[in-house]
Amino acid sequence: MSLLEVDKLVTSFHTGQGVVRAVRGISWELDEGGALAIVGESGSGKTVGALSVVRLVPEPGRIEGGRVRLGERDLLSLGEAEMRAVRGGEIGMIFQDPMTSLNPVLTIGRQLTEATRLHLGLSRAAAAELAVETLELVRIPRARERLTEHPHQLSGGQRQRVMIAMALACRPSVLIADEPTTALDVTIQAQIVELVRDLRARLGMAVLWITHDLALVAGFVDAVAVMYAGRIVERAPVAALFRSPRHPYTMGLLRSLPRLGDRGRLSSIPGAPPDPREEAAGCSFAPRCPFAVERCRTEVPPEMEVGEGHGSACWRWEALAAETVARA
Amino acid sequence: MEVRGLEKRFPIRRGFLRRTVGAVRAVDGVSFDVREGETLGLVGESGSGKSTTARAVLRLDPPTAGRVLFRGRDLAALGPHELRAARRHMQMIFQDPYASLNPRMTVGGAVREPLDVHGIGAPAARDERVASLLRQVGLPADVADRYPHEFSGGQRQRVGIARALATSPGFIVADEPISALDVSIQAQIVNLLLDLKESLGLTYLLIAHDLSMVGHVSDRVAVMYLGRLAELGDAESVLRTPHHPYTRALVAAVPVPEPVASARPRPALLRGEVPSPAAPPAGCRFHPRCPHATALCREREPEWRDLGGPGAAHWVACHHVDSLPQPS
Repeated sequence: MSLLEVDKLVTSFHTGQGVVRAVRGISWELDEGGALAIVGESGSGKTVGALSVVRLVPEPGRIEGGRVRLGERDLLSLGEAEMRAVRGGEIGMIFQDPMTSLNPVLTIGRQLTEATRLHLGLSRAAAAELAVETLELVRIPRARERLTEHPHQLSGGQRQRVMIAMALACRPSVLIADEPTTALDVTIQAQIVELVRDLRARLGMAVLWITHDLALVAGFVDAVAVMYAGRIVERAPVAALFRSPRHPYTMGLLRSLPRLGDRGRLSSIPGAPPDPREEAAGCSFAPRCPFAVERCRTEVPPEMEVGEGHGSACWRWEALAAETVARA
Repeated sequence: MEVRGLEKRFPIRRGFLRRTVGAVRAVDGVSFDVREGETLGLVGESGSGKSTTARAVLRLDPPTAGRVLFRGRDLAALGPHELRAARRHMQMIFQDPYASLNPRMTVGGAVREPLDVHGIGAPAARDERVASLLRQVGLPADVADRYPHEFSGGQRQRVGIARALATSPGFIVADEPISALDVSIQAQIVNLLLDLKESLGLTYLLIAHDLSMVGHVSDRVAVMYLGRLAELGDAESVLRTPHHPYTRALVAAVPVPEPVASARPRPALLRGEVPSPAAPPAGCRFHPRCPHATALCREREPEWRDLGGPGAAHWVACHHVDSLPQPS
């Protein structure tokens, strides 16, 4: 049985301008020690989906359906106190902007020991020891001295590391990383990806990595789920996704990635993602899709099994498969 | 355009009397040419001074020292009227078109404004020119009466491009024109910039941090680090056989969109972060992060040397460029 499972999750925002159906019934599984990337563009619902797992959807968002299971427990039916113990305990989280999760007036040490004293019931001294160990784990130099420093005394890359340290403080079994490298420079981004890859191996934790950058996660995760307009349109082991994508959106994304050393025009996807308040009768990607037929505009495609552990929500996946073979 | 010894310092003021106690040397002696009809990509991480260079080149922020010659004329020697006349021929595209467009001005008004300012064409003919500019950037002409907030990021960037093209400039500085856009839209804008260059015979100075994207569109690439140029040469040569250790690290940090990364040897990652430009390291600015640094690098600034063959200059600023291991 998988460690973390999301089943037919639905999350919506009831705003003055209408209902934004951000997550429209997504399902995925994460194995113990595994790594899954949720890839999507802005507005695809990837972040709301991750926040729903830990029940941190901001107002006026509501989880309206589905199940989230961690081990044996249904997270959506836990009491708020139990849920707090899960967050920061069994599930660690890191976000794009470290300053939003670090408290500027508290020392690094205080922020790192708060969770371990609360969740693990450690003494002050034991918590401080664990904090030093955690800072060393994320390769912060002079870890012990850092405990008395404040977030503003750190550089951007170091803050990101401290935030990862906070997420790891209680040695969670799952790390949820929501675009943790987007605001960072490429060389620092590479350091952080390498760090998380290493931590996953050393601590045996599972990683859920939310990103818009397919290339970034290619060498790091086991599986990828591609989101478009609130739905998962394709889900596959990473090698299968890159070698034989079975959804036109995934194919378009892969082709539009620039490759180092290539020159000239890029292949692009025409048009733009739909307004999230609109309810399309058929496949949300159909208006931009070169393969779309009548059925695509009238009937929402369910996820279909197209290979081992490989699902695609495309009525025309067989035609795509034939086309990729013809190209090769 | 010829840029010679360009410098831009920002004073650091402290205390009650706002005394100047130092200077941030954002751009510190940078020289390069942008040849008629080419695209020169200027690459660097945050703090490299690449955007400051862009603004100093167009005298949006006049440089503290150095010369910028546009078609042989020193921009600093021009009076306000002449400078404004020269600006017609050099325009800028910004990273965030939303921030650079007046939210209360219609899209048509925004594109028309430069025509009014420079008195281009008969007033009656200007609306027609606006319609043709909007068409040229792939927007339907009926968008002219709408406001920026009604548009997606990609469409707003198209408006920003139409506005930059209004005065029929020959030279365009594009500062991170795609980095705020979603992946599937980035390729559209890159292709538009390539098409416009071809049809209008434009010259581009493209400022960006994304090396693979820059490689796709640039004829030559310049790499900046902490206010200085590290390397400059043909795009293919710089990206395929980078000489400077910093360029090599940048190239290695670019995520490769392939799922087999674990089978590849991992690239050597750069340690640490970019130091503050208020107190740049002595000698070679890259030495604190460079795996090949010696005492010489800590003391003396490296010369700017041409390692390229005839007709294919490849400039590098590194003491040890001859003895470094060959790039694989």
